[in-house]
Amino acid sequence: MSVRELIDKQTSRIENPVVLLSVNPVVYQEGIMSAIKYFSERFGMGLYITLNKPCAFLQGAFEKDGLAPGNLVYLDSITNTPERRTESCHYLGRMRELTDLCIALANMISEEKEVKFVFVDSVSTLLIYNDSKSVARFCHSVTEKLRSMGLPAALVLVEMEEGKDVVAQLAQFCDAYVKTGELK
Amino acid sequence: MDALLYGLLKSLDFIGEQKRVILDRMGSVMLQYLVETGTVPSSGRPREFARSLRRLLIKNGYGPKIPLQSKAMPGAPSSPNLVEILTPTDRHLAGGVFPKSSVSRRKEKVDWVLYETVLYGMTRALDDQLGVQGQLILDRIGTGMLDYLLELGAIERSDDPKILIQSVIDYFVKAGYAKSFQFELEGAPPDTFVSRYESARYYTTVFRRIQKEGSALLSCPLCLVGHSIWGTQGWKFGDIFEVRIQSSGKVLVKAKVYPSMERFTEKDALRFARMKV
Repeated sequence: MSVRELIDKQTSRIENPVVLLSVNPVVYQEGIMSAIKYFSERFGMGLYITLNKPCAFLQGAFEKDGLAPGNLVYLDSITNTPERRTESCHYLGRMRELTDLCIALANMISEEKEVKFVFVDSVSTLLIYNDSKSVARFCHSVTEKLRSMGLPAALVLVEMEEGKDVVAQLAQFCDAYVKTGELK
Repeated sequence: MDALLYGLLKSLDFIGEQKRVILDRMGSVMLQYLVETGTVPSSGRPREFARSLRRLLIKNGYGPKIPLQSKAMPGAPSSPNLVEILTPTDRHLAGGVFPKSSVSRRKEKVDWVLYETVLYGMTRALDDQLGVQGQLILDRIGTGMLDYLLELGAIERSDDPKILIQSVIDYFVKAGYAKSFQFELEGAPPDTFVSRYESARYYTTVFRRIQKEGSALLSCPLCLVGHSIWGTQGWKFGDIFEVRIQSSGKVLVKAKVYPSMERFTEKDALRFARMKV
């Protein structure tokens, strides 16, 4: 079953689902691509929070794979640049504090009224420089905020030992826990 | 080299046989690196390429298992899998058993160019596949290297992290990784980890190249082992925000460091919940 089929199977009956998407490292890129396409086709324009790969790289990759450039706006906390804003991206600077991410997220949702879903790539990156308790609390706060606004979301993480305790915590407040299969 | 490869393979064990995908990518990046640095000629000149690569590997003690000839095209390389060639098969890596008695039939030290090829290959392969999340795997490699070196007796065990870290530094300096290494913590509470090296080739070759390519990963083996030890005390390492590489070979690196404490508190969560959107 493809990633989009897996997500659809578990969330099609939920109006604004919050999905925890655990992706095998070997199929990470394909998994993300498939998931973002699913969310984009189902909900419309999205806010992509990238903590993992620079926005410029993602834009190129998504466009190449047929995702229209206007379908996403980005909040980028990985590109090594001072904080600045362009038409499609708010660059925060690399590895910013969780509280900074919260504020930037709230501001972006408030400014970009067309945003219909939020995609967080990835929770695993936050675990590099944050304790798991803080990461879980941050994710909970973000999803609660999004729920209160009726926005669906995907929290992505890469399957590995480091995130196991966080998965258990996050799964409790997500509507679906989707685990991608292996390389076919 | 063996410690690095042990750490690498161990760190990828959790994805089972699929780790082959990452290792294959790593192998091809390694070949590309050797060509780009002029260590071996381009594979467009297959005979010279194969000869040169074989010479490098034999010189470093990897002679007996180099399948560089293709039966179909005599003289042409058969896409050698460098990771496979360099991996020691006599230590049951996957099982975590590494008897002291089997310490290298090969050279104990390999040429730096071969070591940096592995470092570059694994960093690029992880970055291509996973982006910054690859750092989680790199940090696991550090843990695997530490286990290996402790088990081998190359580093003395200690329950005191400061003593253990000093042993690790002594080991790497003695092995020629850097002429000297010193570190200090800045800030109260500490928020910056300052590293000072003399003649640390990793930073002038691999790190510089990786940074130019836009990667935020750090694969300095001494740092990875260090992260593993600091990690046992709950410390986390963040972004490298300053690097100064001088022509004299001196290197200064400043990285964010976070002591063991909650970084998004209940108070933060409450403040965010009350924010009007």
